[in-house]
Amino acid sequence: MIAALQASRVNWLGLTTIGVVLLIWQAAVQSGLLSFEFLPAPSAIFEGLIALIASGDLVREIASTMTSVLIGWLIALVIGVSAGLLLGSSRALRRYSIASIEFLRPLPGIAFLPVGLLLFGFSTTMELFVIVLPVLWPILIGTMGGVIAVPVRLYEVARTLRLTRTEVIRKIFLPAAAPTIFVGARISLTLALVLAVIAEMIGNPQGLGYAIVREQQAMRPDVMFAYVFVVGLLGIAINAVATALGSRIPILSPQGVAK
Amino acid sequence: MRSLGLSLAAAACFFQLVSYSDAQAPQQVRAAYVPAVTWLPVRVAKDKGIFQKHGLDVSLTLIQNLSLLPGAVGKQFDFAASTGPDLLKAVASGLDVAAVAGEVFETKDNMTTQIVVRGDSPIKTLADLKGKIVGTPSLGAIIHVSLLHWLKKEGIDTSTIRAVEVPFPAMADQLKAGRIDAAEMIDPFSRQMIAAGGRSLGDPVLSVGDDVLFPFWISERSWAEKNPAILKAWIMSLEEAKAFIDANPEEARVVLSDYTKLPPAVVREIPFPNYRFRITAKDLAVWVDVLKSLGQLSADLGNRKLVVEVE
Repeated sequence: MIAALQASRVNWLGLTTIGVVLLIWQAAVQSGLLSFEFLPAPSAIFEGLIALIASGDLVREIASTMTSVLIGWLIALVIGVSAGLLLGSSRALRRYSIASIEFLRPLPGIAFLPVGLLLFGFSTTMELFVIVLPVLWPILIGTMGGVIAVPVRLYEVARTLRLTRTEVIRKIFLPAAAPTIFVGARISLTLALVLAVIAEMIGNPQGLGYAIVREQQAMRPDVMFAYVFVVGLLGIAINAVATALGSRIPILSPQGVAK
Repeated sequence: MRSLGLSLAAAACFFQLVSYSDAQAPQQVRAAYVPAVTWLPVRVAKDKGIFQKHGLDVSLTLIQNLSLLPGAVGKQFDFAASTGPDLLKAVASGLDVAAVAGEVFETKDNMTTQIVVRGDSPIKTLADLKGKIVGTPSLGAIIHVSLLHWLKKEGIDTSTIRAVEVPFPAMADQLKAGRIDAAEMIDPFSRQMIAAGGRSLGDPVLSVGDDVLFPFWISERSWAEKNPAILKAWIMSLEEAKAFIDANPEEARVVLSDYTKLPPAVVREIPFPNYRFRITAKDLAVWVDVLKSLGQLSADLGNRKLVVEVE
């Protein structure tokens, strides 16, 4: 039975875990074991979600947050891949920049929010500023690592075929680094969602993050948790789309490159 | 010659008309406020066409975190909600901002902030807070600065309390769970906690004095000095909005419900604070003294103009 569930395309075991947690949570609230003003039962959150869907606000707020996520991620993708290709192909450049990268990489993105606010105010531009920097690193490191790992014999092939610099990037670096770029890009996409929500909670008065704080201040924990639930669902959806893309495009998986 | 005269006269009429229509065109103003009853007059003034009547075309932005606003004043907003500690710290750090209009004055007759403990708490007086954990919306918030000032005034070492940041709506649960021993609260959250059995130790802001300037409006100082007419129209609009609130409390509560999204029962019960919009340098001077006494003012403000007064 368990083997059949494990073999299924739908993660039934994972869904069962979520279901059991929700049931325990519901029972704890209903029995009074958990009795807090700000922790409603899952059933109340579900009702909040239904009310939210009916109000029509949800679609607008999802669209707002996802627009920022995608734009921020795309900017990071372009910068990250370009910088990763440069750093991966130049040992000298790497030597000059790697210390700076290692210094900047662990800095929490949200620490840049006050700077973003001063530069761009309470706006989507500020939100993008907060998203891009932390989202950049997994892509840059993935690309750089992929290029560094290009086998020496491929360089020899390039020399033999007298490929130009652009052709080397297009025909050798990018295909070789594609799986690690994709891994970085996939991690970054979920990270972009987290940062967008945080930036909206603190600085950009729109989207899902702002809605979470708004409903919290409006003493509506049911609706607030409904928004949190939607953010979680979006994370799952983003990851599912990325995984599906990875499995359908051969070049994005290491096996695909080997073929 | 005659036709030239006629042309000049026609041109003069045209420019007069243009300048007249310019004078009549409403002045565009951008303002940021917070979804709380404190800022009801600005919403009433907008929704009821009062700003328009005073020649202002106001665009309002709801912001949740008031302490971040001084940095956006002059760039993104012409008017922004602020408090004494936030404004003074912004000025001390070099921002060209000043108070331009009042909003709420805290008085004994109309208290909006409270230090709340559980009904069964052993904390009976301020002195009992020694060694305890206090929940605050923000370590730099006016309510926390006021509590520190109150403790100091009562001769209690402020370093003996530990403050942790907790959002207002989560304070009641944190208090109930025993994660914090006391909560710095504002209406309507304090009202709900007290109704549910909590106990108030008092209003920390009143330790600064009675009739104290609480939240108010700030602008870029240089802009404010160049635009006294706009400042005057802003204050007159808010005063008219207050008169509307006094005369039509039920209608005002509909506006309140619309922008705060608070539950209807809360909106019905919440009292209106003591709104007042004309301020002087003296009103802000008390906060300079408070911050100085707590060692929280990093720079000497010298002769910096902190309030742009309106006649």
